[in-house]
Amino acid sequence: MEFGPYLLLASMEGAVTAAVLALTAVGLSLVFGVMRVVNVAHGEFFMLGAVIAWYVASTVGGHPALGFVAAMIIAPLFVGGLAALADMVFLKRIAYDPERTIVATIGLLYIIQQVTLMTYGPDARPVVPPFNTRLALPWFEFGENGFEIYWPWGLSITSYKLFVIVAAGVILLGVWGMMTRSKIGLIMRATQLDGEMAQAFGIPVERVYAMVFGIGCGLAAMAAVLIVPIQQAHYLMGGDPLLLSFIVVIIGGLGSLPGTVIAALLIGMSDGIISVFFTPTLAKILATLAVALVLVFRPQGLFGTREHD
Amino acid sequence: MLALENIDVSYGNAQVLRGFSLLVAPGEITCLMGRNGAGKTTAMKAIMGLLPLAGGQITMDGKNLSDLPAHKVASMGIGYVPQGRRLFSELTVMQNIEIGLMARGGANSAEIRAEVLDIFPRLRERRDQRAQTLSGGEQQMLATARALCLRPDYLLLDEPTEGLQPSMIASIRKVALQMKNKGVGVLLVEQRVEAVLSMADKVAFIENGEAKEVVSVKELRRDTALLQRYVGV
Repeated sequence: MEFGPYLLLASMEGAVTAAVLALTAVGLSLVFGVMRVVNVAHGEFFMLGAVIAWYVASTVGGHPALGFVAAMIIAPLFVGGLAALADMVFLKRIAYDPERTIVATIGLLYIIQQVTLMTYGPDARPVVPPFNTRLALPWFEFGENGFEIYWPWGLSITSYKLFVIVAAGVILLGVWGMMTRSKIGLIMRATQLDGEMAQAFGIPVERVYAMVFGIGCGLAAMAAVLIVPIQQAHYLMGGDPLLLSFIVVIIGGLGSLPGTVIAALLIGMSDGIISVFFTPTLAKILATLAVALVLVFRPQGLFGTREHD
Repeated sequence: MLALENIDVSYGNAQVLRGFSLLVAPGEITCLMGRNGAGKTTAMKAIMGLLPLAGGQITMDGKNLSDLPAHKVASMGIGYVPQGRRLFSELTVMQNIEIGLMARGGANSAEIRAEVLDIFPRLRERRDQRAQTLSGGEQQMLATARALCLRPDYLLLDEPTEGLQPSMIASIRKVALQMKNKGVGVLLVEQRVEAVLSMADKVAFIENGEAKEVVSVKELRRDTALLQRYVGV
């Protein structure tokens, strides 16, 4: 395949990675932005979403779309509920202290991972995509007859991958709408800006924290349900999304949702393209290098604001 | 009556309020005066439930506030204008006001919003502007408006004239007096003696976290030595 079509193919793969990464990282960023909690267990909530999707899809049976739709509803709700419970049982009790919450979420990471290993087992299990038609993509050239469109062999994407990109975009728009247009978003932003004053104006900050932790982890679970028909569910699958989410959140600016989405697009696209042209390992090396450069030259991230004491 | 009865409040191992008592009557402006670090802001935060009591109790019209979670105190009818305004800086003027309206439970929101914006018409002009972009005086107006959205029975004003120009101080004074005339009990923490003398009915002095004398403004005008003793002016 020529370079141009090959680049388009790699970009489409990158767009799928970026879409899922944006959803996952926005969950992490939301939790950090509002609660100032670095959720090290975020990747495990992602993994749990994938595993529950497998359970739901294999239980429902019938047409794969039925199981997928059920998983898309049940997995985020279950994971979100579990995360809210974990917030109330663990994080609230240590008063959301930044250092202690890191240790607590490391503990959560191992609990979720090992309980999943004990119950779900070590196997990677697939979820059948609800639809998976292969769609040929066109390319163009300026030949002897001028501008021509043709269909290069091998340049294609599945309809499910296109759906993942669109669905993630719609969910992100929903999150943006919730944060900027709804009463609950206003409450979350007020809590983020000044938790003490939010309490003085009747906002039950601890309940808001539990809800935000639930929504953040629920978003990771949604991302996992979207990706599991492509990647398979496995109890160790939380590592990469966690690393990439941290990279995205740091580059975008801690707590900045628009920054997170833009950074996810940059990292996801470059991860996809570099993985296709070179190796996935090189993609991770470059992403980590980008984080190091951002931390050195712009510690607040590309779209974050410096905090003043 | 808003009553603080022998309250103890600490920050970690440092005890700030020691058996502190204070009464704020409805329809009266009570000023709490003392040197920096005496415990004035701590007393206000304790009323709002933002600091836990190690001893004593706080009641409002006979209802015990001490056992309430912090977010329930505002809905009992206490409006708080904190020191330094502490607006939700990235939210707009109207969004800050919405937060105040929510604290009240959302009833009669349109009517209260209009009422508050009539008191501070400048805020109507700035309605879509972020709070952090307002001038100091406008920010104080917004902080006061946000508290008034609760239609409070008691209003806590912590250093409301700090850093303001005389015209703004007059405007804040006018609002405090309006509230008083409506029967609202106002607790004012203020360092400017002339502001205190022009609006307060009585002054309670605090020293090292302990309640000292409570005098009427008339008495204070006669005995300014009290100011020298407790405030150093």
